[in-house]
Amino acid sequence: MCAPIVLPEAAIGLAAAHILGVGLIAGIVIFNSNGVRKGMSSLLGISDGIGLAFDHVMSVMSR
Amino acid sequence: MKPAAVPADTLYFTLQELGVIIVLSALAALSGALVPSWLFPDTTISDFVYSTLGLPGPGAGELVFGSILCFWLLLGLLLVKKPGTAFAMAIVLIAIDLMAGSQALVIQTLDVLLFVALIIEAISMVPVERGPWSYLLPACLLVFGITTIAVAILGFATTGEMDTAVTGTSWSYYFSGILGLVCAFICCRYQVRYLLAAGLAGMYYMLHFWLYWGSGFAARFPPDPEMIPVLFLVALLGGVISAAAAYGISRLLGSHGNTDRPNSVDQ
Repeated sequence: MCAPIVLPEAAIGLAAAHILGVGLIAGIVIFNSNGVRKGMSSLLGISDGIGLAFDHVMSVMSR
Repeated sequence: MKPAAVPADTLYFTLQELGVIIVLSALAALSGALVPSWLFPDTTISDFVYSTLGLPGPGAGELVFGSILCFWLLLGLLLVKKPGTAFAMAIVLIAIDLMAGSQALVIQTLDVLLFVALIIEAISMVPVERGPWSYLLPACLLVFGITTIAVAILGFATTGEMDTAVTGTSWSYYFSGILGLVCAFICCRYQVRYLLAAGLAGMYYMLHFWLYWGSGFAARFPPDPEMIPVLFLVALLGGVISAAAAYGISRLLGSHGNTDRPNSVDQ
């Protein structure tokens, strides 16, 4: 027989906030890979235009 | 020249740049939480901007919070020099706030961080030396500065969120207005796109506060329309001053190239 564990609302909010926070940091680490970003953009069909514009802006800023 | 293609198996931000982003985001979170309580231990930000500075409301506290945010986001962008730096910093800042701050407050306020970062990113790519962009920041400072001085001269100056009429000389209005005119002259002579970026981001921060942070849509909009240019001037000045500080630090550290040399309008 399993007893339900009822968490107080504050604990649920705290846990959700921590999960969201860790998820955001993980998202940055994952999308920091050029391979992942290129794969995502080709999957969405926006690989050429956005990529070229992005590369151009990057070259201007790093001058 | 066509830019070189980025290899697919590399990282966009290097580990060192990621370190800079994380450290600056942590400093932004710390300074946003600790600096106000350190600077004003016996009072709140509202008391400081309304009672001490005599500024109108609501939203004058953005002078402190918005300026701190713009400073760190811009400093990160200038040090790392890659598009997306400010946006990544905003996400890390939100993550830190979610894990270490008061979640109820953060959920309400996290969206403004992303929008401010996006504005800074976008405007930082604008060629301010050309076209209407070169006049935008000086024109805004000039118009808001003159309006603020006119409000003070005509005796319409108020202070606080309840628009209490200022008795006596409204020094904060005169000071803000004159500072706005001085900054307009300087920004006309020395065009730096980061000043425009932080100024507009600061103004958006103020607008976002008015529209979305009340009990309903636009619930915190200034009841007195004459105070809108005064508050926009305060936000603009906060952004410009924080951007100047970030720009100066980046130049001192030698991380910035020669792309933003002061350019004369006449040129």
